[in-house]
Amino acid sequence: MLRNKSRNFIQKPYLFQLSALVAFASGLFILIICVLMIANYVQIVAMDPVDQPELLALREEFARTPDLDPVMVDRIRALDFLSRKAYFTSQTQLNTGARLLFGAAVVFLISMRLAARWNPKPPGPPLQSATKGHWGRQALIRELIILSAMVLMIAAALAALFTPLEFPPLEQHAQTSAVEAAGDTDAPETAAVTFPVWEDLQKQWPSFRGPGGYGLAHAESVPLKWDGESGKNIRWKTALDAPGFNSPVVWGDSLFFSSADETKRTVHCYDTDSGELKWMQVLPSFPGTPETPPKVSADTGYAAPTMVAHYPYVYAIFANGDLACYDFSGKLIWGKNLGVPENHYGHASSLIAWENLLYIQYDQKKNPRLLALKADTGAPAWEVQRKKISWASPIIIQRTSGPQLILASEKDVDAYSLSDGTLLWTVQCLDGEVAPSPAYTRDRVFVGQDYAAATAILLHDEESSTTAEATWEWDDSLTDIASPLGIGDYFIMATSRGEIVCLNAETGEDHWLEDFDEGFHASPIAAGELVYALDVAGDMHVFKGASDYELAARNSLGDKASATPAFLNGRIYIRTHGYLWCVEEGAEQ
Amino acid sequence: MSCLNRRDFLRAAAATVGSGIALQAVQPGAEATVWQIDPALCVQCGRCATNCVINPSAVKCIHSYPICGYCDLCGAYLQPAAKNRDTGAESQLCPMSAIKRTHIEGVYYQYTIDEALCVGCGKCVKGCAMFGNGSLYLQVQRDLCVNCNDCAIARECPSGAMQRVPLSRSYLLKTDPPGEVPGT
Amino acid sequence: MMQMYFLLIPATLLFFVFSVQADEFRFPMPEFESGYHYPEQVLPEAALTNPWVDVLVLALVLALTAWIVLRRRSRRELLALTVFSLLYFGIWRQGCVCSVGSLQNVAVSLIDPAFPLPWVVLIFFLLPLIAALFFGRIFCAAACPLGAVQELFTVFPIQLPRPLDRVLRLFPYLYLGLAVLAVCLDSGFLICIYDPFIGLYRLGGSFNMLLAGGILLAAGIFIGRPYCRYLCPYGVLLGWMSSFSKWHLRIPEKACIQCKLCEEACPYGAIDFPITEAAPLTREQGAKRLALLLGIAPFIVLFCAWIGMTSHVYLARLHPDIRLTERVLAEERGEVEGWTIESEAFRSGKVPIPALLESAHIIQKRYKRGAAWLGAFMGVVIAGMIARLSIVRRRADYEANRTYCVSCARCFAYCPVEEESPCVTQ
Repeated sequence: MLRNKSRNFIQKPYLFQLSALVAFASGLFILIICVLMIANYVQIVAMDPVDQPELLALREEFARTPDLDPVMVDRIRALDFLSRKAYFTSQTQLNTGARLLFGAAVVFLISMRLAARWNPKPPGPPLQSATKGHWGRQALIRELIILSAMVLMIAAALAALFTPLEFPPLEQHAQTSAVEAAGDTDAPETAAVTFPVWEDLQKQWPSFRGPGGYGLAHAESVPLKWDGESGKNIRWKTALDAPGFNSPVVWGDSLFFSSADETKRTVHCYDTDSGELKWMQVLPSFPGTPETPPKVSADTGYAAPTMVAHYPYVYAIFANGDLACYDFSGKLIWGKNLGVPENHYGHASSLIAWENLLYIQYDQKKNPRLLALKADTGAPAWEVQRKKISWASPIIIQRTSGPQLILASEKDVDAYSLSDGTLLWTVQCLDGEVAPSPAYTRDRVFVGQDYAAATAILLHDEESSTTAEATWEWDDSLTDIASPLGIGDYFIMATSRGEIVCLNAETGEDHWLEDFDEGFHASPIAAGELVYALDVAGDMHVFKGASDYELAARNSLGDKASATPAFLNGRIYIRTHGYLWCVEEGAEQ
Repeated sequence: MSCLNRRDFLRAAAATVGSGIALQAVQPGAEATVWQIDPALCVQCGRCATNCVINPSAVKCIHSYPICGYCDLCGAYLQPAAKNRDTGAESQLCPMSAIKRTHIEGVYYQYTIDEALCVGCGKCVKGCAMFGNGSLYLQVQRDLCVNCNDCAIARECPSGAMQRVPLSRSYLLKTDPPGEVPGT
Repeated sequence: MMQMYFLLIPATLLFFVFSVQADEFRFPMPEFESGYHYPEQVLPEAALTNPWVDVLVLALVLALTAWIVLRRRSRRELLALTVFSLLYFGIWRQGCVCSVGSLQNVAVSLIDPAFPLPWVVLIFFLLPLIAALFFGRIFCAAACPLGAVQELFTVFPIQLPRPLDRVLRLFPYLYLGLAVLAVCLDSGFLICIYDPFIGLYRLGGSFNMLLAGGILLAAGIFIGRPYCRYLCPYGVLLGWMSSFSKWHLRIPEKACIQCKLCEEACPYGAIDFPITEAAPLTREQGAKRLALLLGIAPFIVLFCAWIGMTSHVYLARLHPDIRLTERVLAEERGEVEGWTIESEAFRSGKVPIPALLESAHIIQKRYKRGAAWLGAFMGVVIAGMIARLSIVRRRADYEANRTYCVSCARCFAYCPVEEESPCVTQ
């Protein structure tokens, strides 16, 4: 079977020229369309029809103006229409362009092939036959393969060498970040640190509202009467210039509180005997510390959360997410930024610590979570995802089934295991923004906030677990700032409108309700049978936590007060806006 | 001749290995799979609109009417800070104007997606998930999807919501009974 | 009873509806008084072609190709078939019934039995390989949509220097290894992600891949089939099969007259020349060198495996979780501003960072092992290539290289054996 192969190699000059011309023209056309389409593509990718800067600016302006401006409405509609139209037009252009391009490519291909066909390169014996130098070529190929393999290997090894090993092992990761954050290369004294246990905490005022955080102070020799003006029973008084609403915490002879404004975050330590400043540390910037702090409301401020003292360290957290650990001599042990909280009032939940862990209720708008960090290094121990934002502080209560960490947020009251963050129980009884922390007495956890009713949750211990059920509710005068207090059979709630109500813990019956001239921001504290409630004017109302209202004393300091006082060893430490006070029976200034 | 024998041998070996692979790998019952979004996992990042190999995207918003609240103040339809319920551009959320609002009765409004306009950006889905019943959600439209071997959206999906599902159950509807939805 | 059931069914249905995501249903479903009915939900069905049609078309195209290449020996008919494949597998099926990509599906289903591998995909993977075992790479010649478009664009081919061509042929092995590694370690289908021509069939796609496709095609006008020769991972498998092929095409059907005319004919560097020169080594020397090479081959392989293992640090970044972990850790350390969509999605989920870190460690460990295997594979390939080059062989005639020849039938037109003589215009 013979086929005429020679016709494959016939030259047709005119046809060749024609097809070459078509190929050239279509090639040019392709190039032009490509350029146009790339330009169009860049535009369309960057473009969301309603996210045009002009339109967005107009919308923002529209949102700012209080009433409905018809002119602006018309402008928005016109601009919106235009940009949508532009979007659809460029979309159509892109589609048309793609089709044109495809068509042109087909024409280009066919004409190019025809050009090649009509001007064939006829076969002929090669000028220099490739059969020569076979062995040399083989050797060259071999060498080239070895060479390129080596280049590949070196490139791979170099790439590996210059790729930082991103993930250090779990524990190491935590430690190194702690060391980095501490800003020096000395390893923190990790091995030597032993942290206090519950019995130790009982002897101190380690956190917001005392040990466990539910407002119970030791009864022994708590001063009953004092007067700021005359100095009666005032051991010392130190002027402060430290913005921040957090409450003082006391451990041994050291009193701590923090302070912050837009630019500076500080931790202060005072001598409890003399009232002298022991040290004051300005927090350094940690990795992630924002240059400007997030917006906070004036009545929350940049240092709302109370510190926690957990010998040998103290911890402070601020509105920008900075968390720092100092030792009692003021040396920074570790610090980090937890991520800037997204919080429209400002982060307010106080810290609490238990044995070797530090707990942070980091309930923010974005990614709310409960963090447990190793107290010695700041390494994450565990983390629990939460649902809602909150400004309340955690409390720790002791149950026969073990200690529990109780958190309140917009909807739920949740109890977690301290060791691993297991959710022990949850009760849905809140609704809306919550700042008051839970109270606890006689198997009952009490939460209140002024959007919903206050609820008492009855706990029932089984062998290794606890069940919780909401029992009674109270929806009359409700607190929005000060935390309620459980004392004996009663719950005491002080409101920012100046009411104090006493409820029966078991039944929810209201025993009495008293009106005061000033509101309460500081949380009432129980010492023995007495309740100490500090109003915003700085007057301490002392009354019995009983079914009948009986005022025991009313003591004035003459300075505005927001922070909850600290009670320890027969003294009361009060942070007012301008002063730090120490009240002790029998002391004269 | 020996060469030919060696080739025959190697050929037989290759064929054996091939059929070994076949026996090992194939699942005779395996149904063809297609890509679909699990609405429970979707975070409405907006990548479905831009990452699909076809333009506009094969992902579109669908509406499960039985779980819709028929709200007047619809978080999927109106801008978050809309000043009025006007249906003009100053209040509408959808960048493509693909949602139609019709009054049904009393305070109830029906919202209908115009699939032809929808680009699958998920803005309304986010609004509905945040403020409403979550009756709007993204699904791959079967007739538009070209069913790539490696879905370009799945590759970029931040939450792993784009999954392979069997062809016979190729929509993951919120009105489906639970358990029927693979991956939940 | 009937009535009761009637009541029960909607009740249970509603229960199911509510239990899907109870917290999302903030508003009660309205009870309409005006007799309003829910509009019907339109769910269009998949417009997929029956996959068995594709299988049938593939089998037919392969059979036809074999017949045209081996019996008809007609380039023109083969071109027509190529155009058909381009239209069917490319334009009509949008380039996504693809044997090249199917190798990943097969690989992953070997590792993970839960990954569904339908018969159709397996057949698409095996059929071209089996065909290659008998007829050579006829799949590349006219069936493969990636090959077809490049074949058509090979208009003014130039010959790349043979050594350069052979060195570049290393890369498909690397690509194959990487693709299998990635797909087995759950890091995506690299071959599909970096398919340069699929965007042309769909008239759209990622800008970078469209650009890559355009560049490859433009280059392909002069450098024949650049993707097939220097990238295609499936081509590696086909080459292996084809080198044992039973009825591979022969340039002259009868005896070669050594006219040297075909030397220039092949644009793909796939014609082996006769070896006329005497080998520079004696048989003993050659054998000794080969023995030496085989002796050090294990060390080459081990060394390559070690290099591969050290590379796992960056290879692991193919896995999205590794990239996510890097990002989240950098965010935690405050090295980067803000959140990406991924890290935000992660943070709004339930997984804590330590768990992510732990899974990243597991992935890295798997990558360490996988990358070592990849390195070993490359070591074997390099050692094998060198060994093949070192074997002293004799060849009398011009022959198609069975591994590299894609059966494009160009050489037939140049070979004068079957007829008097081609028209040579001087």
